[in-house]
Amino acid sequence: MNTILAMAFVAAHAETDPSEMILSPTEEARAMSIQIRGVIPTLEELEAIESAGAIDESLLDEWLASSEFEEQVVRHHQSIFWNSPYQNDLEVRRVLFFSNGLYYRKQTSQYVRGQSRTSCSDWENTDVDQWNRPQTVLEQSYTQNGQEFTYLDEGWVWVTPYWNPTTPIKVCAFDARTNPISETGVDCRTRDSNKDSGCGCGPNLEWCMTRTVQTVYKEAFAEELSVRVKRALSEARPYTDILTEDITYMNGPLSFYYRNIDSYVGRTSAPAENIPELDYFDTDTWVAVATPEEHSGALTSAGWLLRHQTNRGRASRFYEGFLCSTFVPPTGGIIDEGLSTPDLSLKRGCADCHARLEPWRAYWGRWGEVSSQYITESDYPTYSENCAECAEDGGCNNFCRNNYMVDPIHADDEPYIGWYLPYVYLKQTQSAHPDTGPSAWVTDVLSDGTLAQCVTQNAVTWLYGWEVDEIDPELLTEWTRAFEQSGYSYPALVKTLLIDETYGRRK
Amino acid sequence: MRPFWIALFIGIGCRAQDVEETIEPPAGEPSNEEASTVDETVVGEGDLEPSESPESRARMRMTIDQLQASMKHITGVDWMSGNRVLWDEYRTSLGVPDYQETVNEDLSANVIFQKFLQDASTYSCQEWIAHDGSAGLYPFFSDAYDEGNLDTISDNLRYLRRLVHGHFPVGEDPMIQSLQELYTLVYQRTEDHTITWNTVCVGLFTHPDFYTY
Repeated sequence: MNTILAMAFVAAHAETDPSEMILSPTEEARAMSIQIRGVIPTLEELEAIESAGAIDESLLDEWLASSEFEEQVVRHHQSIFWNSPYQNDLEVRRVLFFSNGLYYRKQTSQYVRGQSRTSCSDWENTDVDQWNRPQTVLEQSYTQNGQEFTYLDEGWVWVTPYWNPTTPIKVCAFDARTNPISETGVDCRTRDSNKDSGCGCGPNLEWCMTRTVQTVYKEAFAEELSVRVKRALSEARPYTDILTEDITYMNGPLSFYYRNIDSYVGRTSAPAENIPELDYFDTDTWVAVATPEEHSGALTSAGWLLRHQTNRGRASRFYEGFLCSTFVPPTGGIIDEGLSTPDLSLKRGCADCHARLEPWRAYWGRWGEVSSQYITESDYPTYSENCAECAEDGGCNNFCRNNYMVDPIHADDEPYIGWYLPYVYLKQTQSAHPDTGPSAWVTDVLSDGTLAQCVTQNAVTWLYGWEVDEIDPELLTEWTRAFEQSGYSYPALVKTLLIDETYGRRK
Repeated sequence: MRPFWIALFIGIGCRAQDVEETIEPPAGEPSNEEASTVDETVVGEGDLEPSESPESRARMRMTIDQLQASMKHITGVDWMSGNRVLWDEYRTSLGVPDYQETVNEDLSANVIFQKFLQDASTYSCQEWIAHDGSAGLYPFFSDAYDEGNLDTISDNLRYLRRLVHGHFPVGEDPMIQSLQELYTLVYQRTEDHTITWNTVCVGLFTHPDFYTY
């Protein structure tokens, strides 16, 4: 009954004045605080503003210098970066599954036990050597559809995992092995060991992870993008550094990952040489580490590359998020012209978007798709004589078939025979895009002002709640100019918008 | 934008009055000047104010994170069930994007939002009143509050309106009268001050003056 009365009260008084209203200083301060600190002001702050009759500029500056402001800017940028944890396993052969009280690597079972997706049985194997290698192994068998199958059963051993040093767990002995080299001579610290029968998860399981631990790494990749935004604010650096700096940030989990697990994972590669020695549990300490010159800030970070997995997806998100434009399909849909040119930048119906998108996706041409790895010229030359030859003579190997233009199906393919696929169909003026990387695109849009205008527009839609078509172009130009003149200071941009008289009026 | 202001002031200066007013003669000696005559030329009906108004921002709804933080700031408690924070539990239902499946936050005050806000308010108000603010920064009752004294009830309503809505009225605040009526109505039916204040508290938190800005 009382809930209904409360609802009736709200219904009777919820009608807000439809006309525009000029906010009082306390109302304006409340709105500002909610937006830039994520919480209403304290009663004391409001009372001080009420008695002063105005918002003291120093109070606004204090709010803009607070960690709460950084947090709100981070959240605003999450809606631009779309940073969120990668959804798949980084390397399933390094994942320890848990079943019947035992941890084991399901995906390597076929190599070590001779039977896929099979764990050891529940018996403690105390007969192991100094590398945890079981000296006693049982041969088990079972019959299915009248056929007998056998597999090895090594039992389990106690191991203290790195993610929980106080609680030993039962790990199938094959997966608990710590030997650095396998019996066949494979280095157990390399990717080759993923399918080798003689390697395990290393000391304290440091070469493996559970799915829960894997989530810690994936969340850290995603959070690293937010750390970039925070650092640009807290260190009072230009906003553009977020997209251009030759720096990556690592916390404890990421430092652990790059030191111990990265070498097994095909889709990531350590972005720096000097990986800091941080404790795995130190999630809050983020250390800046210099990256090689091919990096371009957030746009080549693992968080961005794993979230936006294709080069076209990466270019499209940048185009929407940082240039405030979208690709719109032609009216009536895309026409499939069958055997017309495979070059999407020329193909009718596709060219409307792809004439722009193809040269832009090429900026990520040397970054792997569904991967954060940089692909070097020495590993994948821009032009391969071998692949060009095999395209003529036939008999191309998988390397050529998967990565190079060796199978032309149209006259437009012919000029690109033997070229590494990210370079195919690029016109002469665009052919350097994969080598320059996305930083060259950032430089272009910085110099023509489109990046600054979009950053401003995004801030306006955030703080004013306007739809894009409600923004007065003259005002946008005025605010963009102020942002540029401030040296791309993001707090200055937000302050400009908050102290503008427009903010004090609400419709 | 600035020219709009100038146009608006001119417009206001020329605005016709809808209501006939008695014009008092000015005090002092009458002027020797002849009264001017006004030509009445019919030009049709129209708005004397400029068609474009000055830019103003939109009224916006708090995000779920802002709502959670603000409610906790006031009451000192999170919306919980056991050891689960329900704001976190219902994020997806409340339209908070995960940036995988969804990338835009639904900031409409839709029925689902209202339902969860009602539940969160009911829980938070109960806890706030039960602990009288010992869990957070603010007591529920102002120092002078005395449940037998109507004046202090009214004062407490003003205190809560300032705290929850951030509203500092220039003159008489009509909502205080309405809150007082709500208080009286619920108390007459329940004869329980705690239930009554809880209803008032829920009314304040579910009002747009709290969750919009």
